Amino acid sequence: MPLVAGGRDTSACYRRGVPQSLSTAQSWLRRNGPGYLLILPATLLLAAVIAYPLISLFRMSLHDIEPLRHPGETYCGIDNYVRLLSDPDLRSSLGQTAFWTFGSVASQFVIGLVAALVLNESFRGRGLARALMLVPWAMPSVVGAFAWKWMYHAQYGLLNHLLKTLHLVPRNVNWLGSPATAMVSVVITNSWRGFPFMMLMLLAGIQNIPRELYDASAVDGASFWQQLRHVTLPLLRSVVFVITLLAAIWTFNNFTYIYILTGGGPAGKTEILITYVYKNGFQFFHFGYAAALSVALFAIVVIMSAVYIRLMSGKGEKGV
Amino acid sequence: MNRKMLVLGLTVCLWLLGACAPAATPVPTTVPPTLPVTEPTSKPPAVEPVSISVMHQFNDAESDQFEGIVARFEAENPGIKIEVERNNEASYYDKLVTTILGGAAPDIARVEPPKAAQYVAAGYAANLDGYVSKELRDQFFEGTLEPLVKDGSLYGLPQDVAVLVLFYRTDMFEAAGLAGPPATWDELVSDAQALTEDTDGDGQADVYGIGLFGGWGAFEFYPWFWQAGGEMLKEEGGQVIPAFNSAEGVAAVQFWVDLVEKYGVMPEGTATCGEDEVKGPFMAGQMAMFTSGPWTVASLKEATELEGKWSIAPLPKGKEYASVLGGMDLMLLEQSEHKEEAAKFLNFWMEDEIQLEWAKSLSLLPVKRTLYADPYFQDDPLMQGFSRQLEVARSRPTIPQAGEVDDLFGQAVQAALSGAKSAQEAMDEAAQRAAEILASQ
Repeated sequence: MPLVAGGRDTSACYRRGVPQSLSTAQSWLRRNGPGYLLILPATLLLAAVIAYPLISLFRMSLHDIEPLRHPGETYCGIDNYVRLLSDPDLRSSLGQTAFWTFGSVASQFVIGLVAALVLNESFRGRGLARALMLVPWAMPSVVGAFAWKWMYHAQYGLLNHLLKTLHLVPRNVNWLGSPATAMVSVVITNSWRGFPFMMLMLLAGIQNIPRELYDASAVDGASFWQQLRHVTLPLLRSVVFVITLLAAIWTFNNFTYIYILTGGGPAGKTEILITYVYKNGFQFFHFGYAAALSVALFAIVVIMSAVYIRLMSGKGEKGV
Repeated sequence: MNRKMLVLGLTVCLWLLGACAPAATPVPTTVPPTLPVTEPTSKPPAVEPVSISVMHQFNDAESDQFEGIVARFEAENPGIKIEVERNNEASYYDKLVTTILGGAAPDIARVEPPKAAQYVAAGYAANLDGYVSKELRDQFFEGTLEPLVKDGSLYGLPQDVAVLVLFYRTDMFEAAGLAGPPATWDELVSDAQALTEDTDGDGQADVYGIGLFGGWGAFEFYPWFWQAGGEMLKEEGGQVIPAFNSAEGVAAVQFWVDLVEKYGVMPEGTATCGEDEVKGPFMAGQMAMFTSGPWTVASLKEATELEGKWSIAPLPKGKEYASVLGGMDLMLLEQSEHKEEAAKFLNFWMEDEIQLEWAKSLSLLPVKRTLYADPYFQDDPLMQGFSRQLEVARSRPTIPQAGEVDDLFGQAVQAALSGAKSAQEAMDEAAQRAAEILASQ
């Protein structure tokens, strides 16, 4: 009875903004309760699909789980992590992962920015151009990857045919089968796929920049490049931040293109961390070790994001 | 402000619930299929039908045929219901391993032989000795049983058998004045040289004699390795050690490299190619030979413009004749709670009549030795070609670490073929790594 009455009273009082002599816990609940209630479903969902697997992954990483060598699992402390530090394959795939991630994101950004600037100008057929530019992003990744695989074909591929017709290369380039060009080739394909997203976001950002700023800078005699550097890019900063971070995380974890184009070859030259984890877990059944690798992968993404957020916010303070 | 927040929050909640919904739908959809089944069996339903789940990655034509087998079995065994789960090849094994680790494995799964050996070693497969008769076991090819036998016990059944043979363009051979397919490595080189052509005079060949590739790991390479006299593993002092970097093994890798670099009869860049990238040029008349298995026959037969322009031949002889066994196996999983019923289905599936129909309708090789006597196969030159090649076909390593050893071996071939390393260097490094893996057992 008192509870019900109290509840009714407090809500009434709350509306009038009169503070009541309630315990701090109660007032905290009253103030934040609805908020927590609202995020509860999302939290539970996240806990089920993210926290639980993460915890179980971490548990696995501390166990020796090698069904091909012995049944069951035994606790082995940080053995898997020690092994990780002295794994030569891991080191080479780390370097390749960095190239894959930063190479892809950087070129996606540059191409996306150029495309956004071009599409921001008004010209005939702009709408069509905008739509066409989105095709790589909209195309199912497997279809896109196979199309590129054939374009890269050393003897019968479109790319070599074009380059030879234009006399840009004297003989066929062995795009995917040579250790020198395989990684660059997969990065090019990934840039092709990812730039429309960058373009779209940057275009939206550019269109939000007030026209007056350009007019004012033009009056002051700013060139196109100066406008780009001092007006467009600073005002796009938050957009740039979000999209490059997102693209980096997606690229880091995405191996569809590599898998289809080269399968990690030739001889591991396009192997990245995620394919390495996959191989250790699903192909070789080193489940404990693969779990440790995944935890490391997770840590890398978290650290990468944290450093990045820090960097961008630091710049923001100086810039503004 | 508060109201705005509330609306926003509710929207987010609804959206999240919406996101949940698709994940939740499979649960209700699984219910209806079981309901109609319990009703039509109007006989006194003393026992509830036992449900057997089968996971496979058959292609369209095979899948249709398989549905027919399931329907026939269910009609004959009203007490057993077969739940078929079809997957695409790309994510099949990930899914299977995940279900096994999660304790939700299917009763029956279809896996390729090296994986079968791995699953048997890991204890995922059930012992079939009590379920499969000796007569049935003896009807399979010895080589196809190799990955499925551990300590004399049987842990799976071959479902499909395949072998690599030489596919060649008879029209191109005729045009080059060649009498027939090459029987030896030397003939292969000279034939391929006669077939390779630079049609536009730019100093690079446009038509190639042969295309062999490294994108399927070492699978394509095994026949050549064995033809050269190579051995994958050997036993020394009770310990299995790698033997593939022997002089013979290195010579086989060098032969592939020579086909590209010394003789110029094979295109560059096949280190990461898959079969489509050599089959395409073969069909277009830009490549005279490639190696493949029975799975390619149907698609070549479908290409009517190629009718009478291609054939198959046994792989040429190096020091010896050899080819590699492919195929697929069926496993009854240890986790299964209905092994009796699942085994009943496996035995039904392996009946002669069903196997014959399968092989005939899909142009595949019969999996049982005993079926080759059937007149249908006796009269088919392609079938006879494949079955002759089967006689010298060998199984890939079936030790528990085969997966890793095979991966290293394939990488060595890729490294040499792509020019990253010399043949000797690539094989030595791979063998050393393999030795470490085998020793750490």
